[in-house]
This record gives sequence, C-alpha cells and structure tokens, in this order.
Amino acid sequence: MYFSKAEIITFVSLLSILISGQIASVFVFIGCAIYLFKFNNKMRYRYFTNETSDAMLLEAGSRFEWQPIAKLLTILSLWALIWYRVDIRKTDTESILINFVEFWVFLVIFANILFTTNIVYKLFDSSVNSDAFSKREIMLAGSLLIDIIAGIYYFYHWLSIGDHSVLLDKNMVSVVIFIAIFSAIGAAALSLLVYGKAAQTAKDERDLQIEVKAYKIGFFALTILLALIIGQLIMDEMAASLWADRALALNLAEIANYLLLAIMLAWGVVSAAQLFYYRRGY
Amino acid sequence: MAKQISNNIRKLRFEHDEMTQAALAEALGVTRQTVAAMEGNKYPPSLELAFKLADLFDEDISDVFEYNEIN
Repeated sequence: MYFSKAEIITFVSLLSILISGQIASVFVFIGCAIYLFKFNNKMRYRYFTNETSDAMLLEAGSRFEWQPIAKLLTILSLWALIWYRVDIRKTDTESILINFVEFWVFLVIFANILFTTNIVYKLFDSSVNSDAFSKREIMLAGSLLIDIIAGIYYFYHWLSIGDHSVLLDKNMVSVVIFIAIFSAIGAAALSLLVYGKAAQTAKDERDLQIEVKAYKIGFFALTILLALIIGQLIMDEMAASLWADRALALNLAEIANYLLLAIMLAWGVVSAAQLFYYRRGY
Repeated sequence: MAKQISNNIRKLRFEHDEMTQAALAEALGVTRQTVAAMEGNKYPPSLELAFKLADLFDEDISDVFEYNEIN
C-alpha cells in the first residue's frame, strides 16, 4: 500500500486540523508530510517492483482493491471527527479571514473537499473497483443495507412507544407499512441500478456453495439467538414461580419483537457471511 | 504437512491466445468471479468443472491441477 502526494496531504492536514486546529497544525503538517514522503517513496518502490514481476497478470482488476476503501473510510472518519469538534465548526470558520492561521485552515479544508471528492471518484472508477465487486456482491451489500435501515427504523419506533405490551400499536402499524413499501421500492431500485434491464446472471456452483455455507452460519446464529430468548423466558418463569409477587418480565409483544429481531439478525448474518466468502474466498 | 489444490489456469489462459477470464467463464458456464477465485486458489472447483477446464485447454487434468504441500 502506498499513498499519492494528494492523499498524504489530505491525511496529514486533516489530522493536523483535528489535533490542534491552531498554529501548531502548520508545523505538524510540515513535519508529518516530510516524514511520510520519505517513507512513502520506499513503499511505492516496493509496490511497483512486485507488480511488474507478474507478467501473467492479464486482468489487474481480478484482485480485490481494498486500499481505496480503507483510505476513503479513514478520510470520512476524519471528516466526521472534525465536524463534531465544535471549536473547529463554530469558532474557526466564523473568524476565518481574521488571521493567517485560520485562513490557512480554511484553505486546507477547501483542498480536502477536492481531495476527498477525488478519492470517492477513484473508488467508483471502473478501472479500480467495479471489476473487483461482482453485481451479485453489490446486490447483497445493498439488500443488507436496506435490511439494516429497516430494522433500525422499526426498533427505534418500537422502543420509543411507551407501552411495550401492545402487540399491534396504531403507530407501529404505519411503521410496518412504511418499512414494507421502503423495502420493496429499495429492492426494485437496487436491482434496476445494478442489473438495469439485463436479466440477473444465473448462479453457478460457487454461488450455490457459498449460499449453502452462509445459510449454515445463519442457522447457527438463529439457534443461538432463539436459545437466548428461550433461556430468558425460562429464567423469568422460574423467578415468577419462586417469588409470588414477581410478574413475568417479558410480555407477549416483547417476545414477538425479540423473535423478530432474532430472525432479522439471522438474515443479516446470512448476507454478511455470503459477502465475506465472496471476498475472502470459499 | 497441510496440502492444497493449486492450478495453472492463468498460465494456460495465457498460452491460449491470452484468453480473458470472461471468455473462459463463458465457455465453462460460470461467472468471471468464479474463474478469478479458482485462479487465486480461493475456490476449489467441483470435479465436473475441473474436467471441463482440462477438456477446454486440451490438457490432462493433472496438468491443470496440482495437489501440493503449502509452503
């Protein structure tokens, strides 16, 4: 793994803003940049030496390129951290033209917006990653994301209603209807985006074997989750029989929702396991 | 000592007019990702697919696949 000059400037400057946001960031930036440039040259040399020795490499895209993703995630995390630093967000940007340091910070932020955009572009550029991710993997990741959003939305609303003993709360019915519509539209849009009008490619033996393995893991996950719920119910009943004044801790609505959560998690595990085996290899 | 199945698919592709992974995948009736996984020793193919491969390259199956100790 090696970094381009633009990436080094992005990393170091974002870090320096995050660390100090003041005049020290200028010195941190210069010092780190010099060090990283020297280190980077060694890594770049090694990287290219290894690559050119492989004359049989007909399709460069056949290998998973994780570096752009790692770099992008790091940069996005730094952006998020900077955003949550109130002093940077409010104080520094308000008085941006007052002195040189703050103007410098502004310039660096502006440059970083450009660099981050460039890295996002590279991530989705066909020469870097589209060949490495199959359409099936993108579909899997997309549906996993839809499931996670739907799950969070559902349980957020369920936890926010006051009475957890009602199985069919009026608000929850509308939430469930919304989730059903969202999931259906999401799945259709995802399929249209990934496959377009072309038919979905048939599963070959590797797809089927990965599917079998993923379902096996999903089954184990579901078994463990159900065992936990049943264990909780048994403990509750034992406690209730031992102490007459103690009522059962879980009501029917809660049990139903725990079961729903277990099923959703198990499905999530199946999708995640499939993605994992597609990436790491069967 | 642990052993693993390795293969010469990439070399054979190269020798067969620099056949692409996509072209090989189409000839075998699998996805390109499966060919890439086989080449990278990340997926051991079924016996049927292994024979198909050997047939396609007009080689003996032992010339395509090897069962070696892991270095």
